[in-house]
Amino acid sequence: MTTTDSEPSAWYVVGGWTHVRPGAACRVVLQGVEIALWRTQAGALHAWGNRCPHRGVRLSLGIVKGDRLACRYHGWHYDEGGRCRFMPAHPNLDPPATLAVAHYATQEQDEAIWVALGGAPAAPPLRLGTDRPAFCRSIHLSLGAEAAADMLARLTGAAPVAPGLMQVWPEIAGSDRAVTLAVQPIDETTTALHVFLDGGPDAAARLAAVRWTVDVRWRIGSETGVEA
Amino acid sequence: MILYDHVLSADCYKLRLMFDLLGTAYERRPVDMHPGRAHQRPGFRTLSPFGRLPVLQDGSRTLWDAQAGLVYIAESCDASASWTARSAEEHANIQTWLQVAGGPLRTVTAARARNLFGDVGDMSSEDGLLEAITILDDRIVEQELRGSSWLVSDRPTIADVAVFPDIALHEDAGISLDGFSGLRRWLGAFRKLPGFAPMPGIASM
Amino acid sequence: MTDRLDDFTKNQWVVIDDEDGLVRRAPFETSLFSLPIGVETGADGPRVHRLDTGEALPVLRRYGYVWSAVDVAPRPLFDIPEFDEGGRRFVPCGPVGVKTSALRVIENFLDIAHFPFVHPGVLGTEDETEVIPYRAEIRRDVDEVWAVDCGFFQPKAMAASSAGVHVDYRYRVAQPCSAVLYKSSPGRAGAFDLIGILARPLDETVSEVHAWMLMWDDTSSDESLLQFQQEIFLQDRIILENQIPHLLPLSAGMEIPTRADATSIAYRRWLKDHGVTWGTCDGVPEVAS
Repeated sequence: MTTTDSEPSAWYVVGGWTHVRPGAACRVVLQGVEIALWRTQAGALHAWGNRCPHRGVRLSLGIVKGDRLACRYHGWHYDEGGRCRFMPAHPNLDPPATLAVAHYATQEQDEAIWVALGGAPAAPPLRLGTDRPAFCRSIHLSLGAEAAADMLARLTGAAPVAPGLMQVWPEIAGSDRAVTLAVQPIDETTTALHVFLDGGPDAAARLAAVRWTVDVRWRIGSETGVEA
Repeated sequence: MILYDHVLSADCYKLRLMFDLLGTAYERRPVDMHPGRAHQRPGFRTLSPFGRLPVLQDGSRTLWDAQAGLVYIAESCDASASWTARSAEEHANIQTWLQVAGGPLRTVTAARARNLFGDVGDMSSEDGLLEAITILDDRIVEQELRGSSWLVSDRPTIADVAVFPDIALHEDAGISLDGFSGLRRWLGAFRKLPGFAPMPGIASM
Repeated sequence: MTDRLDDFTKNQWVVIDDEDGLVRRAPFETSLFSLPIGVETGADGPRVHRLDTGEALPVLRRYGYVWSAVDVAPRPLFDIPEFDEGGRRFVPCGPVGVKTSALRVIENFLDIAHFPFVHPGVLGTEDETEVIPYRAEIRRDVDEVWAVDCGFFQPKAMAASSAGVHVDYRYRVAQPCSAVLYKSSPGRAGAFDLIGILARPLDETVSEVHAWMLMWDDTSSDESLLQFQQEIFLQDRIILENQIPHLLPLSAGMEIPTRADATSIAYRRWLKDHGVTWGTCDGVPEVAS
């Protein structure tokens, strides 16, 4: 299942900036597509198709070596462009240029990691607030994206402000900061919500926003009869 | 000390890990947990009345609970006294997570054991497993906001060791940590501790 | 689905359990090629029958294992003369569930380039990753896949090994779901130890895997031999469960082999020649690349 060809490529938030650390790799799923998200040791971010072309092992299990990602099965090294540069079983062989991994456009903005499946969109990602938005946390919901948005609107008063984005003023920690919810459609039955707090750095407000998010998750869980 | 052990047991790995992190030598006695089920035979019950592994022996003392084993090893062998509690509050917090490791987290241990050694056609749903994982992830996220990478206070303790194996072996239990970035970061921090050694099912780094 | 069960796959003996293991588990229910089956012990030995039709399935006891088949007259089980030679220890490792095709399990068993990465410090080391060209072939006379002249430096080749050695390997695939490895024995100069792998397909992407060892070793305890092999298989298991797709691709294009994959190339070719579809991507259009 992939994005339909008729839809233009769109940016989606797949996590906060801490979702993957320098020197680490992890998996995210966007609209049913598995992505290996990883950072070089220096912190450069990449989003690749999650399959080594050798024997199909997930690259999200790979090991970061400097600015390369090595597949966990046979240790094949891929450079930042996704090209295979080293096959340990044949250390003196130059891998052919065709041996490469599919890669997706990725961008970091407003403490969020954005990915687009269909090629880098012309426009940059949407803003996640008006004043130094800070990433709070993410939650997964056992609901499709539309059902999740409906339930959020009903339970919290959150309203859509742009495609994939909702906003709410939950009055947490006595402040009137806006909370922006970025909706990530994982697949047809699972959605991730990434929560951002507007108004600049404030540890107490961020903690309160994190707790508010967890409370929302428990309330959605008891509505849907699913624990998490 | 002697450890009655099986290389694939998550509970046994808790104690092996504690020894490794402390740099303490020990004697390992493999028990045929699978396929022989030797730990459940009558003869083994004098050592471990519930028929479980690991069993820790120190001279004439025998301990048959993994969490109790962690307490004993840390209090006996940790010269820095950093892995155990330094205050009543820490003691209570550590105890809370040891209880989670011995209680709600056992749904994860059981799912892994079923996937590995049972009939894989008989798999229960994930729902009951996710609650403990979710709560642990929530805890880590809050601790991170306080500037700590660990479950209790500002440093790794036996609480982290008690919880680590079941979380680290989540793939075997059929659980994805995609939605739990706090736990993924905590696993990453744990793996960097001096003396750390992985077991199969945990990606070593 | 059993309509994907090709004749060559259907026509083989498949492992149910090792003798002691079956006695411990019986009576139990499990699956074979997506068919629910019941296994029990009777006065005259183990019995296997289909739970849907009640039909009794044939049973064979050989090499310490109990085998069954969904074909009334499976082709004869392959020979392992070393079992009759005496002197070696037999250690069955018990069942391990893996969520992938049995064919993926066998292919992983045949692979040597992964040793330094999946079994570091034991079967391989990152200081020595080169795979020296070896010979893999389909032996038409016996209708088996063989690989010989596979050599590798191993820091800890067997449970009793205390130092790294250069090890010679030979691989043999005698039926789609069974493979044997012959490796130079540290316990007896000039002889081979055997390690085998028998996979029972519960369905096309779920398998129960039985490893076994037959080796020259008078010193190690059963438990330590067992756990050595179990640890190795569990290291492979996390790779196996993370190969996409779980079905084995038989046609070119989806995966790109190198010379080090000669045995796997021969294995896939042999399966394709025999029209194997069960556990493969062939005939499954929605398994996209």
